[in-house]
Amino acid sequence: MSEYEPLNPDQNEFEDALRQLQPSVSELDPARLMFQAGRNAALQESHARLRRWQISTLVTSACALLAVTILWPGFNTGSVNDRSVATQQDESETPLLPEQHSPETPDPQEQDISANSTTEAVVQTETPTEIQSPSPLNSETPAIAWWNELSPTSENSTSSYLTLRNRVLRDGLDAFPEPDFSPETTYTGSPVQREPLSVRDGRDPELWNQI
Amino acid sequence: MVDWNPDVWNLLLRRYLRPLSIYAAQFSIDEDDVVQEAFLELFQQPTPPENVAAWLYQVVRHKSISAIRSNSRRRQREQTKSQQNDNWFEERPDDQLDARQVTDQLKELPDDQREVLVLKIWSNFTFTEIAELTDSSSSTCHRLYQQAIDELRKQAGLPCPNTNP
Repeated sequence: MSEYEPLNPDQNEFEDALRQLQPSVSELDPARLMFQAGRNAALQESHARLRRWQISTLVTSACALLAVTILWPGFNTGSVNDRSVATQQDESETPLLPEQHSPETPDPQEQDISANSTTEAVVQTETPTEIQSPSPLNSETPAIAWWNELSPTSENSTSSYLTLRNRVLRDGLDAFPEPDFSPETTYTGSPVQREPLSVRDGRDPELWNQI
Repeated sequence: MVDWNPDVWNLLLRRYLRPLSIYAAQFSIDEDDVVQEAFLELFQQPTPPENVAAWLYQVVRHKSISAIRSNSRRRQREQTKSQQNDNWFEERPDDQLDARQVTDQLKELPDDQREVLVLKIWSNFTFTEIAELTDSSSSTCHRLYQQAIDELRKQAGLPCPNTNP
């Protein structure tokens, strides 16, 4: 379609008269508009930078978390303390082996020893295996071998041990009386036969002559 | 974002600022805000549009219609205010027509006639460009334009050419 052409010259003049009217621009200042445009551009660039920084930070954090998860397998199962507690619980829940005894269940051998005598209980604390089998005593017994090993130079080590053991079994702790620490007898060694003062002073002529 | 040359920026403002202002004003809205937003949006475009003029008018039209639809009460208040005080043209003694009178006559025209007339007279758009902008046909735009001219001539006391014997 061809562009419009006014047929009437009067209309053409009227259109020219309308075009002479200059549209008014009241408040829109070009300089202010350019300043506003520049400000908006700066804000847009700032927001774009902030967005890029946020994205990079997020990616870095995700990579770090992924690396920690891969390199530290226990990270997914919780903290270290939680894991140790869980391990302890697992161990406690593990059923006992047939040869193991629970702490609450008394050992039948210990029950036998406690039923016998206090002396045997005392000895059992030192050499429990020997007390459990008191009858045949010979040099082949592990306890005796242990004794000989401790005192290899002793000739009668086996007999000394057996003597000591028999004394304990027979007399108990009374076989080893407590030393007397009374003031009158401070010396607890072998008794000394004290001579009368007259003898030491040389008043006994017979003794003096013997020397 | 396009690195606009200041000379190009000044040329765009000098060429399109006034026509866009009266085009936005005929929508009975705050034309300064709409035109400013259109220029700022043009400045922030990643790539410059092929037809800057058509792009600016399209943005102004969309923003004006959105403003009218979103806030009818404000539009009515501003319309009343504009009908009382605003003058769309500068009052110059050399002009053959009275600026305020023409403004009042334009405000009395139907919206579609006024839009086509403003685009044709003060923006130098062809009917094809007007039809593309208003999403109508060139013949419709031509008819609307002729009706607007006839109405203005009648109100100005001039004889209508189509009715002359």
